Amino acid sequence: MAPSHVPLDDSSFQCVLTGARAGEAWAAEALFHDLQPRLLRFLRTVEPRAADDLAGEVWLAMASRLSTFEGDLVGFRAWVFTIARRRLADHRRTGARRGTQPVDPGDDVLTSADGRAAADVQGVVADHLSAQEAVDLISASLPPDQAEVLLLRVVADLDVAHVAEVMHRSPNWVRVTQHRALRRLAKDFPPDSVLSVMHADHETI
Amino acid sequence: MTDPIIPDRIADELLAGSADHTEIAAELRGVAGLAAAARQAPTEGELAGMTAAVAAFQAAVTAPASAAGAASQRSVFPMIRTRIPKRAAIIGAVTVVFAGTAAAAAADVVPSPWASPRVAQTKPFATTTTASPTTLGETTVPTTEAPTTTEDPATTEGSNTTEASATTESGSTETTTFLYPGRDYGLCTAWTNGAPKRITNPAFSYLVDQAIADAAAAEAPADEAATRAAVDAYCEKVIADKKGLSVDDADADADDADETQTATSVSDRPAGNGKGNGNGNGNGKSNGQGHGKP
Repeated sequence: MAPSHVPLDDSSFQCVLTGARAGEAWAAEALFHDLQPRLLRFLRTVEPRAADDLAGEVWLAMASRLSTFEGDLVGFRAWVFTIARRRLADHRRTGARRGTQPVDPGDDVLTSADGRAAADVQGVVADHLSAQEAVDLISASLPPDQAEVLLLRVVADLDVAHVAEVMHRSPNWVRVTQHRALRRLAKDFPPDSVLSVMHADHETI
Repeated sequence: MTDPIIPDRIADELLAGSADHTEIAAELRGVAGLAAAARQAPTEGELAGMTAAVAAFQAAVTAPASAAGAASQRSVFPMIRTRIPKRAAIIGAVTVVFAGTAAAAAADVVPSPWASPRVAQTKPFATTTTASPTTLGETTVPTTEAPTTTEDPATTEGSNTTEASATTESGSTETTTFLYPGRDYGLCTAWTNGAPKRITNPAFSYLVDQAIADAAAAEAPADEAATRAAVDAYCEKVIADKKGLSVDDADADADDADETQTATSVSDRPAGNGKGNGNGNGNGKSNGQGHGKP
């Protein structure tokens, strides 16, 4: 399991932020522990091959501009995911210029985002679902915009206003898109398919 | 049939993983389970490399200026390199070189590559001068008038004098009037140099005519010896007239032997003794035209 760390919440965030700006290792570890899994789950879903590199770039960019940030914990997560989306856009632009064609990572049916039929994955969901698999399921079942809204809400733990800010959309658009996404997922995943996961006593991020 | 609306509060709780599953509609429980699965605690794999990441983070935080500079170099210079193709850069450089050359040629900083060699060579000796008023106390005196037109003295009988204006260091203007045309001085220099010249030499026909005309006022020469003596006397006067000037002025005026002009300053003109000598050696002048220019 992960090493002990300072839990990051609204009350401790300003202290952690101050320590991180001063280069304190414990503060950096707290930020890493809170943000890195969220970043990896998001990036591995949308860009599996470059996710780790992109996450590293996000960390460096965040560290170099940490002194300019002002806000609370949710605002900080929104800021980090804004950086991540920009790095992702740069990566895709560079890839398009180089003419590279990403290849499906392999035989893992849950890591591809090509919209597999829900019937194929329901059995897997019922047995056991890791966090990354759940994220990949959401991404594979929804159109890109709807998937991104849900990922930012679930993985990044952002509210509607911050998702709208990150995606440069209006809060209304986010609410409507989120509603459509939930409806679509409800059709694809009947209640008994994921109950085992829901009722399990899991620690969450 | 339309799907029922999911209230915002339910949606927020469902996505945040804080919803009581008993309150959630049955059709949304699968989604709630999916969201809860996506929010699971981080795994060891997701936290791998934390030590290295924290070290890099600390290094970037403690050196924000250099990191930001490196980041900006990474982001700016590749963009410049990729957005300005080499071909465009070469075309731009060539355009700048040609435009600079054309501008310099137009400003007479360098000889114009489009002008003929003859024009380029004769340009420094152009006979037009610019009017430059010289201030004398409170009175402004234009030292020259409009640019003058060059006329060949062989065809202009009436202009037998040459004026030269020189601006002294004190700012005043001295104007010297020559009694004899500059061409006469050149011919006389050729006449007096070296072996005695023949009166019948067509190169000196103009000089002989001038000497006879000058002597006619007193006593017209009767024979060849008298004509030669008249030419000698005439040349003596012409040369003496020239010797009355400074060396610079004499040289400058000799260069303008076949011209009638005024100049604000003649001290920077090239020496022109060669014209008179060229007339006297007979080379190229045997055609009888008797022009003063070589």
